[in-house]
Amino acid sequence: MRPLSRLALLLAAATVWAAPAAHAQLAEGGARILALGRAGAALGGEAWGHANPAAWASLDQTRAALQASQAFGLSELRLGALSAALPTPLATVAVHARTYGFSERRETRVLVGAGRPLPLSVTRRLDVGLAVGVETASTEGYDHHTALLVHAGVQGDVLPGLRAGLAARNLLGLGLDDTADLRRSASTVPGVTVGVAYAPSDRATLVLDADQDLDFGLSVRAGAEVVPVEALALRAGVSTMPVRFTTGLGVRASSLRADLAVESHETLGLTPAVGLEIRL
Amino acid sequence: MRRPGSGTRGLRAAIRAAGALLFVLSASAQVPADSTDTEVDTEARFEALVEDDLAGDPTELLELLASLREDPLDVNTATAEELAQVPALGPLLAAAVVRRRAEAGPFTSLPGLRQVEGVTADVYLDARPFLTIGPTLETAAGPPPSFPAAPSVGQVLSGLRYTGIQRVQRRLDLGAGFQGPDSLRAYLGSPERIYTRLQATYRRQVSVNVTLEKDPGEPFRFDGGTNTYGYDYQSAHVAVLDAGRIDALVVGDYTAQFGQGLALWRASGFGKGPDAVGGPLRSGRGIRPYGSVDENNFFRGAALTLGVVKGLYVSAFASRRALDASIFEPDTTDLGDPDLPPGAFDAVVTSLTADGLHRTDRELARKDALDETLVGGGAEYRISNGSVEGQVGVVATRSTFGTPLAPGTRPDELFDVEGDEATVVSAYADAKTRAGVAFAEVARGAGGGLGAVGGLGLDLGGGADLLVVGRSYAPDYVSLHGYPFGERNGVGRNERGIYAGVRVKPSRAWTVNAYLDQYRFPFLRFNVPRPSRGVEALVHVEHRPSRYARVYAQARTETREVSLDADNVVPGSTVGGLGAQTRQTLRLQGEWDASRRLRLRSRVEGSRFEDEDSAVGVTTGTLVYQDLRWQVLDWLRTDARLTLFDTDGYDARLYAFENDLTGVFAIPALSGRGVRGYLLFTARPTDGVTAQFKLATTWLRRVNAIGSGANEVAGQRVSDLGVQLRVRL
Repeated sequence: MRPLSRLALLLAAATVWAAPAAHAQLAEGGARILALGRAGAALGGEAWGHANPAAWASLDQTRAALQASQAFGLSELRLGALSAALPTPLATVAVHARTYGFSERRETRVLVGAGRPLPLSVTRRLDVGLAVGVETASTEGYDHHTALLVHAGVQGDVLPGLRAGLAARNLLGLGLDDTADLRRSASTVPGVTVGVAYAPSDRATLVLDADQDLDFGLSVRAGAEVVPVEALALRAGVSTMPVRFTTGLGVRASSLRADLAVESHETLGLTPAVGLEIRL
Repeated sequence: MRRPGSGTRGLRAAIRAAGALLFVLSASAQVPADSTDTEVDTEARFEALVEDDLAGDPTELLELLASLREDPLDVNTATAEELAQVPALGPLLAAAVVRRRAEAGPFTSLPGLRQVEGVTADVYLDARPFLTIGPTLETAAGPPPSFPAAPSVGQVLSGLRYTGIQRVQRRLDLGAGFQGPDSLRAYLGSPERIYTRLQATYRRQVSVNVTLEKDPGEPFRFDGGTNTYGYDYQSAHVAVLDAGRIDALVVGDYTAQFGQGLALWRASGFGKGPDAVGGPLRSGRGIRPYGSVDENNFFRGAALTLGVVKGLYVSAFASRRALDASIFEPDTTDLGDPDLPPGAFDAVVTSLTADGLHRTDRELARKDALDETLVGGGAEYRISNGSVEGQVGVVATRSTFGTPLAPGTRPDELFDVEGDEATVVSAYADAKTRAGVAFAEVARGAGGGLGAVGGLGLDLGGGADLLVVGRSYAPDYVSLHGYPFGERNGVGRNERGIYAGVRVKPSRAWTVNAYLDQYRFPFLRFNVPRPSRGVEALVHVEHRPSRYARVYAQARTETREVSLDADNVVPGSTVGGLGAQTRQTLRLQGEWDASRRLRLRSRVEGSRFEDEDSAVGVTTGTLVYQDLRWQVLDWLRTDARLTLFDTDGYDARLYAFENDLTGVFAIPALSGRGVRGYLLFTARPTDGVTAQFKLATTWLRRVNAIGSGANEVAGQRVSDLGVQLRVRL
């Protein structure tokens, strides 16, 4: 199939599956988060600040992470991403880059961010994070469309084992004209996410997010991670709007962690994602 | 009235010194009041109030709570009725506090309230901002006096506290009505809402108040013909309360609240809501001065409640004021027609208007069009001993109107008040004991019909309480000044229903409230051509895992019968049929006091609306908000919120209480798809001075205009700005 025909097919699919398409195409944010049903607003210590830039604040080691995914097995929806986070005495600074699409339609994003803990009392602290960057969407035969991105978030340990996270993305887009524009990337739509992560023990984590953006309805996401042995993590998740089931695993060896995730969409099929993380 | 120990100067001085010492000790022992715990409960109750077809303006209730927060009640001298105003207490716990005080003597510290049965740690934390321990403990010496001590003129003059409030609010994106004199439906005045209040108070016993307000679109001018003296609305009063035998003396504007509000109750009360047991309970405060901004719901004249002997109080009040109304002036060209009956050419009132807006010539024509002269009186016996708190009383009012009221021609208007006189008589009683509460009120309305409400609340033990309330308001029961409990808060007419609420506290950290209310309207209503019925239920589960965190889930559903469309009438009948409408909401809210300076709150809520008569069928909506309260500096606080909402239409709308300028009620109904955000800054640069600034913006997507009629704003955005300066000396 010629690329332009594929683009037409994809646009048609986006029309038919309006809400599902926009949410499902962008399989990003790290294979671990994907395997947890994309619920990660309250997960700290992640090199990916995608779900919540405040996650950078609780990193204690430099981390670099790679991710590759291919939504629904279509090469036109292939995504590659890189994140690196470096803790410094002042804050953890991070960079993030990702590219997505194919030659006739490509979306490229570059972000820089920082996260740091704010001490609230002797025992309590609040992690805050901010990311700014640009995203460029180019469609063959059209002008490029560039959007300035600002994401912000907070995380905190509400109770022993219970962590809450709040994130707002694309804050600059709140008041923009909503005229339909095919050039615009769906990922530049403003949204907010609230979530909790509960770790009843060191070997289990449950996550729950509610995500609302300006173009689509409320998406509820939940996931669970179990670590039967230190080297292995098993994950599963589910999300709504659209309904997706996810599963995955993570393997850790020394300073390396490899993650695999598979997301299942009832109509559009499977989305595989792999990730690699290095701790320095 | 002699106070105990008044004859011994040395003893009095010693008592004062001891009282002052105890006050200092108790104050230093307390953690500074944290209002956030209280607010989440109060906000949820206000939201329930608005969702439930509120009649009237809840601003006065909001002002009352703000006033209580600023001038907390002395738990050693406040009456059960006063303590019942604290939302966390309500009438039941208020009576328990008074009983404990009578049995064990005055409280020496606020944490001592925990000794009162039913005052749990949560209740205490919620009630604490509204309570204090007074500077003296004179009540400790000897038996309690029959009447509270009256302050001397000197004490009042030297102890007066002066408060001035100036507030200006304005919509930045103006509606069509503000587009100039040539625009359609042009408003006569500027878009600012201007509010001025000047008040002098001595404790809770003396109040001198002037309140002035101009609504957006109302002209700021001096025009005696429309009673506009700069501001469109003016209110003033001089009041003396709880001073010896004088329970209340008000000259100027006042309200009257007796019994369960069947005959007289002008301040809004909480009804059905997350406090399933406490919400429907009422505790009449009698005559109270009025200084709020609801332009219709008060009396103007003089009122007095006097203690005759201990426990027995009599009230007399008179009011003469003008109400907004539409007057029908008949065509007098037929004066010579002999077939027309006498009186056919008299002007009649066709409707009363309660919105208080006078922005156009047409609205100004309705302003103060109807004179109402009201006289009333009552007697009440208040019981207060170690085992029972309660009251029994009667009250009656007679209104005379300058222009006769005339029912409309619609079938549902058949029982509206007719003529130029209206009399309401009511008898009420309530009793609160350790076992629970019982209350009842029966009234005869202006139309001759009867209204009755009664209930029983029981402490089931094991942390469980039950409340059952029955009401029966006949179609011809009309009380123009009542505000009883019911499906339509404040309407109290043409309704029968039974309400059952339960509160269970299985552990310290968990509280479950639930209610079921079944009701029917035995006569047809506006746009509902037959008797109809409905059912409403709510479950509210709150979990407080620690002092710093709380989360609640609330599910509410209501199904009621409404009129079917004309195309869907009942075969063989000329009267339309009924169909069911169901509205459901599910809310999850979490709140975390991250520190003493930072509070974070999140809410996720969904709604579902189903109309079996609608081709649309089911509509849904969702809302997510993140809220932050940050005490940036000791003198500066910031409140901010970002809300994203998405509903299929207005029927699936969602409500969210907003922090606003102190005294401003803000619960916007959010519908469509969009974002709402606001920033509120509160600065207290010096003692007694509070400055506030609020900017709120709503962006709606996929619309070309917001609002309708003269308030229609072109575009996708509306912004509102408000500033307020409050000075207290």
